Amino acid sequence: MQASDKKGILAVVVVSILGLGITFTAGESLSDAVIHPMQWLRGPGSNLAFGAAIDDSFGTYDSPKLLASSVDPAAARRLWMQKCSQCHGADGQAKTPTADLLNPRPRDFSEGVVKFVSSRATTEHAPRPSQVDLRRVIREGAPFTSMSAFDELNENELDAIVAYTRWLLIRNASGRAIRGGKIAHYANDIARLRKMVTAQFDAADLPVVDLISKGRTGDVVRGKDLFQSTRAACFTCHGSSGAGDGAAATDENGKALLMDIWGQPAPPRDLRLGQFHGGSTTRAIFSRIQNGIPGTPMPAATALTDIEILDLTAYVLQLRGNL
Amino acid sequence: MSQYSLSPWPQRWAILSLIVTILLTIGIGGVITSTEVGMAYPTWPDINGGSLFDFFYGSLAEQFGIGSTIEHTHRQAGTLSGLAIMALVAACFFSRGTTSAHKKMSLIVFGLVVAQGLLGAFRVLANSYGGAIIHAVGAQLVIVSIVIIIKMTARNQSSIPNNSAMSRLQLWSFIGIIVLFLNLVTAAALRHKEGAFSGHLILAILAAAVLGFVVRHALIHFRDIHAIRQSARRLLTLLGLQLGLGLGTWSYLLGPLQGTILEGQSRFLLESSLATTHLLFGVLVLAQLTALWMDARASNHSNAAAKEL
Repeated sequence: MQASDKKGILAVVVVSILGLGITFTAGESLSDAVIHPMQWLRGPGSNLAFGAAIDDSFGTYDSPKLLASSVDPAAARRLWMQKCSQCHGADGQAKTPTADLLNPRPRDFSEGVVKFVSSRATTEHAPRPSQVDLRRVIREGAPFTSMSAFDELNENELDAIVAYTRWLLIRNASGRAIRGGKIAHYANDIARLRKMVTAQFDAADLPVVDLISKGRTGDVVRGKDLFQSTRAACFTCHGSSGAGDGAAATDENGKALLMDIWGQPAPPRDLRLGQFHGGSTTRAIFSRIQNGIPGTPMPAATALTDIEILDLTAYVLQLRGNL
Repeated sequence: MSQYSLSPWPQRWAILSLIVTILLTIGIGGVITSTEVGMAYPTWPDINGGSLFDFFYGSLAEQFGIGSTIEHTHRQAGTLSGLAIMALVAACFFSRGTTSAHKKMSLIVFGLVVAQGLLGAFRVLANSYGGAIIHAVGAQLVIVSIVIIIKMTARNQSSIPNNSAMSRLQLWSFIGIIVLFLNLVTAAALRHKEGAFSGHLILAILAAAVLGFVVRHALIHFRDIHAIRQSARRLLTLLGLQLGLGLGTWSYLLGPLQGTILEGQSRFLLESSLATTHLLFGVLVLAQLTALWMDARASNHSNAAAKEL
């Protein structure tokens, strides 16, 4: 063997080790959650393995692998069954006799989506609720709905139910992404997906420094102008008077056109009644406008500045009682 | 023993095995990975309790999606590869003029293809990325082994001088096989979302450099030897096409052309076609390089035989 061959072989070995090392340690250059545009190729058979893989990664409803290590999973499940399952179901899908009797229906968590959130919408996913959002709805209830305020819960119990609800949402949001064909069908993907969706929920927990925290208030006149403008386009659903009778809301026969992702009618709120399910505080209304109401036709006001949203909030709050 | 006393059947079966394995088994396997339908049907080897060949494609697609048909056709093609290789083993054992080396090599090929089938089963039943990568890499070993037996069972091997230049060709073509194999490992990892593109790029450049050297060396020193010259030219052609395909695949999947041509399903089909074709040419480059290595090795054997005479 010539000396040049020995040098060449050494170079090949070094570059090969470098290439292999980079391949397996430099992370992924392909997206974790590639949307598969030909889901029909896969068919329903592929879902058979995923139920088991989801259970393996997330735990089952009865034996959840909660994300909050400080919460006892068994205690959390017990509380869920005691306090929540009558309306929301043992599996969170709200398929219960009680749910059938309620209007609006109790939230079905199978989509991994809830309505009242304070985090920003992104192009990738619906806004995720923060733990504060969940805590508030459980503690204070949803006004003008059957979701009552669970103010009898102590802090530990509240922590447990928040942890279980959050686990349920992350589990179902991950499962929904798989069933929607947004990720390749491998067990590894489920672990990745869990990490990705959990990160989305974690991001919702980041503190938000907003104008309300700084004591700013909105301008009703500017808010009214925005409400009627094509830029904010609030009037298209809520009507020019805020009565919820906009052109996009009903057809010529007065039939409601708007539906939510749970298949329920989602008529625009009559703002004059002031009956806001997500709360009537300035912060609550601000969040509804800023982030929209996930799962419903109410969009996030991504084109508006925070000051403009604050102006709109002031106007909406001022509409209360203008019947 | 003169190679002319050797029956043509072992090589015929080996060539058939190579064609079936590359075009059908690996080709469809590549489509499966490109279209991400590896888990379209999560049991093995049956479909809904039926045997491997006992079903209608139409009802299969209707029940379990077209992906399950692609996946199952890959299993059937693998079976076809196995049957062809079994015939090759039989030909090596029972045909005129075969030696113990032919028999041993045919058993190695058979063992590899059986292992490949079991790896495929493991990959599906364990729903494993790692299993998918090993399965993809195992296919390359099968190809290398089939090419080796094709060359071993050739009847008209030309007389090739054994000198230092030939030893160098043999050495570097073998190194080229190793590097190509490693690069196919990185490609499999990348395609199964377990590896970074930059690693595949580094090994692709290294492989191109080593293969370029091998071709140059072969064409400079052995231009008068038809077998070597032909192998080197084929390798050069395949390498050029493969580099072009690699560039095109990168441009469209990850590079500047990403998302610029076609949308939705058409785009997905183009991406899948590019990636699958790139994979197939990678296999062809490996097969051709193995053939060149075997041609270079033949010089040692033919000269050893001459000395014995």
